[in-house]
Amino acid sequence: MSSISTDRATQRYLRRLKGALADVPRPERESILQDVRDHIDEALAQGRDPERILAALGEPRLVAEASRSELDPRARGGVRNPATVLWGVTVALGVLAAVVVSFFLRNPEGLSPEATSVPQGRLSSLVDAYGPGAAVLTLLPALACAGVVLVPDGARRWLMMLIAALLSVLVFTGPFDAGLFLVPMAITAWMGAVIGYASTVTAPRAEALVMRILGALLLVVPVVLVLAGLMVGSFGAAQVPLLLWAVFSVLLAAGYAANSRAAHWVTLAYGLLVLGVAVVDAGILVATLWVGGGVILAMGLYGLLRLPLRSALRVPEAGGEQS
Amino acid sequence: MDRAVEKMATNLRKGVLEYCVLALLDQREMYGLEIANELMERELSASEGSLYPLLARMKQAGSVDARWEAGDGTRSRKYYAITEHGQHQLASFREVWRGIQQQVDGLLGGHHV
Repeated sequence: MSSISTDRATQRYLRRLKGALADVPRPERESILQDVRDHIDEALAQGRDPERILAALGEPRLVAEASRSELDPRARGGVRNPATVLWGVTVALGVLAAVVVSFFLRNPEGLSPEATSVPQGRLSSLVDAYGPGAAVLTLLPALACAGVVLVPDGARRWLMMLIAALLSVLVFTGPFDAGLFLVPMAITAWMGAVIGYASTVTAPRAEALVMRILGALLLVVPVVLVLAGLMVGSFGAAQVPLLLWAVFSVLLAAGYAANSRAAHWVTLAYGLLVLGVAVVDAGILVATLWVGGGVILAMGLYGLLRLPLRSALRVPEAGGEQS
Repeated sequence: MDRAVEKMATNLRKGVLEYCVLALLDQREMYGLEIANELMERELSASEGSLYPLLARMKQAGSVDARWEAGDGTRSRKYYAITEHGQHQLASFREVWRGIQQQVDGLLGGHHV
């Protein structure tokens, strides 16, 4: 196509618009860019002032925002913005992790299994040992994440990514094994920063396939491990509940792989349940359950927020365009 | 215009803009700038730029269709046309709008006179 929109301000406007539209699906992005370019050309041809034309079009950022809200089927369907959901979950997990680390964890040197054999009297929670200041300290990640609402819209994604990166570092370097308790939060923070602002609200086909398989695997791996334990007879009395749980996990994994929304909801609830068990009564398994629960919760969230709705088949492009 | 008033108008326009575009295209096919000009003239849209994401979505949803046609000179123009699906939507909107308009007018009328 021929373009007469060659003046600098126009070029810069189009460049900025293209950048702002980067996360809009390609066919729509191309269409919008083309239309805006044509709009400017036509308006120039009618003798309108270049600056006025651009001013009337509005900020590229706002055009991109309009595109996102127009083209996001979930936003139109009334489902909340994935970024907001993931942000909320991250803050909640941060608060919960702080509570667990401050008040529930009772052992002097991290979570070594030997800790259980230490007499109760010698075990102390973080707060007992270091005072309420320590509890405030453990809340810092949650507070930092909550602070994301204070920055302007455009910067949130980057702040979320920064927080996710810091959390990831803390996971490995945190004092004692408190780092492990940040794993779920780190996962949801990454999800918030990446898929919360990804564009194509629904996962592209390849990504969806990989994640459905990964999700199903993550749901059955614990079963395989435990069943292997059963084979060598190390679980004795609890066989029946364990088998029930195994059947549940396999069915859920199948549902997840089939991209059933019900399965995603159940996965989410299952993750919350495991996290709950970790908080209330987990003994030496607390860190394992906490991390596992967080991963399951994240898989459920991913399925609900990111996997394509099976019912929402794409409307086929009506008619063709010839250029 | 007062900020709050402007916001009120923006919110109201947002809900009906799509159907105004359909109504315009129901008269005849138009290219982007034409639609933008018609909407601006009627003060139905505050920013021209937001029209194009809307058109992209409407095309995706199948209520409008786009085709290229040689315009004046060497330039070709992208014309938008209403589809049958779009016409159905427009007809439904007409009914809904009449109902709302009547009720709201009735409510406001008492104080307005």
